[in-house]
Amino acid sequence: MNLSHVLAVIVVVASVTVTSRARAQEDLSEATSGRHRHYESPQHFAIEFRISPYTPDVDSDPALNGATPYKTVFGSSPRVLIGAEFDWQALRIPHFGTLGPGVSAGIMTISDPASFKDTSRGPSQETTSLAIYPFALMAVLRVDALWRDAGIPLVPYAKLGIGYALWRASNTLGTSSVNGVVGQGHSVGTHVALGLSLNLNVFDSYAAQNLDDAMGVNGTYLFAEWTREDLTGLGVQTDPLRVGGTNWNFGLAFEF
Amino acid sequence: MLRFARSSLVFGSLTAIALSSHAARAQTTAPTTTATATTTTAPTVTAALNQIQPNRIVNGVNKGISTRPIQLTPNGISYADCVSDMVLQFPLVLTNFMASSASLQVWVGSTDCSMGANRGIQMVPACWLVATPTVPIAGVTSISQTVSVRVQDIVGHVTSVPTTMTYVPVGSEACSTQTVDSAEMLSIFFVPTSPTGQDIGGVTYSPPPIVVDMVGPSAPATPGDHKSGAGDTLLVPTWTPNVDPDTIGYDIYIDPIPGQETIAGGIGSEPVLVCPEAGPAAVTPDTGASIEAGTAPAPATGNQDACVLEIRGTSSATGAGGVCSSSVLSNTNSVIFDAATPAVPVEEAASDDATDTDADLVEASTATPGGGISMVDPKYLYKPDPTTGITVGAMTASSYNITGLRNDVQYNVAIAGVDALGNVGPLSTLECASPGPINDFWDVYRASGGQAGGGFCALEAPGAPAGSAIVFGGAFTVAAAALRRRRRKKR
Repeated sequence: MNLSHVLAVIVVVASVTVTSRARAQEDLSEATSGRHRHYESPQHFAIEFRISPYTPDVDSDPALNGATPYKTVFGSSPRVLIGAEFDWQALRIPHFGTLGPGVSAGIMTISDPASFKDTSRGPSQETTSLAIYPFALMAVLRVDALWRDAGIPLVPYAKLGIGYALWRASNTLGTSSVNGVVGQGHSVGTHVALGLSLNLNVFDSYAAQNLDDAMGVNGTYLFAEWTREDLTGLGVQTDPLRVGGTNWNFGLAFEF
Repeated sequence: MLRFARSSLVFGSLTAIALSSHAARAQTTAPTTTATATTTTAPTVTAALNQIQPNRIVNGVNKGISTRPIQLTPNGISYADCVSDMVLQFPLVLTNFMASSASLQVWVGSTDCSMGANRGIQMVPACWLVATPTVPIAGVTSISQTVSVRVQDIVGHVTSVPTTMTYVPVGSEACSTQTVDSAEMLSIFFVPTSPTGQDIGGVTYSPPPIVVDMVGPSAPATPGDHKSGAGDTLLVPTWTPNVDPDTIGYDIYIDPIPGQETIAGGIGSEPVLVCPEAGPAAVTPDTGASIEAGTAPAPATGNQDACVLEIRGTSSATGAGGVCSSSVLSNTNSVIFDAATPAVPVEEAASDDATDTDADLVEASTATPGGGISMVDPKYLYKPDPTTGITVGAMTASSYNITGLRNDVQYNVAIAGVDALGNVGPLSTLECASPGPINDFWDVYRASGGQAGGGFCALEAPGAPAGSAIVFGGAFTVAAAALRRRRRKKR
């Protein structure tokens, strides 16, 4: 073994020693700062609960020739859509994120007093309502490398899929009907969403660890999501009721 | 250990409370037999075959032990029971009665009538005698006997107990003597006495106390503008929920009757059956058959005056809702007794109705709506519940949807409270409105050219390559297949 070999061995040993010591110091600092992880349960799924101001695109139907029946009856103020989503994080891409299918469902109802046809009588005691039950089947991509690898508690994500909605127009007496055409049906289209999640574990890692230990919840998120549901028929429906819309969702998500 | 001991204590306490309350309840509901003597030869009255509740006889017809659904206190006495001159028949077993020395008297009161003092022996009576059935026994130790008691006799002396120990029969005026809106409790005592009514030492039988309520709830307050809500073939009357705790629901009366708009509702067009003593009534309750003018029969007993049909006053109300007017939805046709704020009886003017001999009725315009009994013809009652006969079975209700009406026809609506015995109180002031066609969202959408709709199962427009449901379902199927394939790989 010549001198060069001896020096090489010393350098390697020294570097390993320094590296391990530095890692030990890093672990210690992580532990004291609350970022140290003792154990993490397997993570395969995510569930979201959301609320959103929502205005359906009913009046964008070309068949209406510029008429605005929705705005005329219900006004232009957005109503509240509540929903939930379940994602299966089927594929984990190392140092990038997860990819998998997801399904979502929601509900929104709008009710206002109906006016008499004789407008001099003003609003009637009858209510007119539109209930929308949107669903979506989509692929969900969550980029959690920022959080997992860099410790930045932000997880951007994107969703793309098929949107579908059941809807029902009704009044006090039941489902509306005009000339035998009942006011209920379904609409299909595309579903696109972009969002950003804030991992709440960073605010109380001790509670987060307990939640994981007790219930297997790996991460709790607060999220904001832009959604575009374009329920214009997807080429298979002619003039569906356009109950989709563009809206901002806010809610809580849990990965487990 | 400490925790176990504490849990045991709590459990034990709860068990004791439950057992004691059960025992107390059993005491209050079981028929009472007051023993004033314990000798085996003492006259004894007991219920036959354990039939605690009496049979109810109306016009000689046995109606069984109840004439009302279970929700309406079937064992109580209501105004309808009273005016129909109902008779309560108690099947009893009399033991050790010797006709020469023992008699049976039936007493009623809100106190213990088995005590001679409460029956007037050397004291002012607190109970009143309602029957002295014959005891046809000579040397027979035990015999079954049915004892009949008139409801009007039971309720007739609540406010004025006779000062003598004699039977004083009461007529239908007894039905109007209750001074409070809430129910009262009366007990019946079958007392073995001497032929002169003296205590002889025997075993008295007293069935469970009877709930007596012959006053319906006061009229619910309605909007001051007399305007009923309306929609397409729809009326939505509103009212302030009745604060009378006696109220269990509301009856809603409508004039004209839906489906009969062309033949009813004219002012002063509806004749009303008026019985001088009991007040007006419209139809015979049991048969529901209409009574034609001039042929109205007299009530079975207790009121021997024949009833007559006459056209009474018209109820009207004017406000933002327009002029509401109905000849049938009027408190003129009701009996109103309000103990708290008594209405001053006003004799109707002779010009009102020359045939009216009834001075007790109160004009609607002068009566202060209080507790009472509504006398509106049941045919104007909107959709009574098949079980209870009440339109709205909730005290807190404040509105109701009347559907199936004709647009552009003015309907008059009045609301009456109903109490726990089915007494229908006086009517509210009228509300009125005309249903009319509306523009709901679907109307406006379709009128604007919208083409959607047809139902959840409706397929898309003709010629479309595939249904949207098929697309969505197909995508779901693909996802499910992928999941299944992945699972297989894992295995």
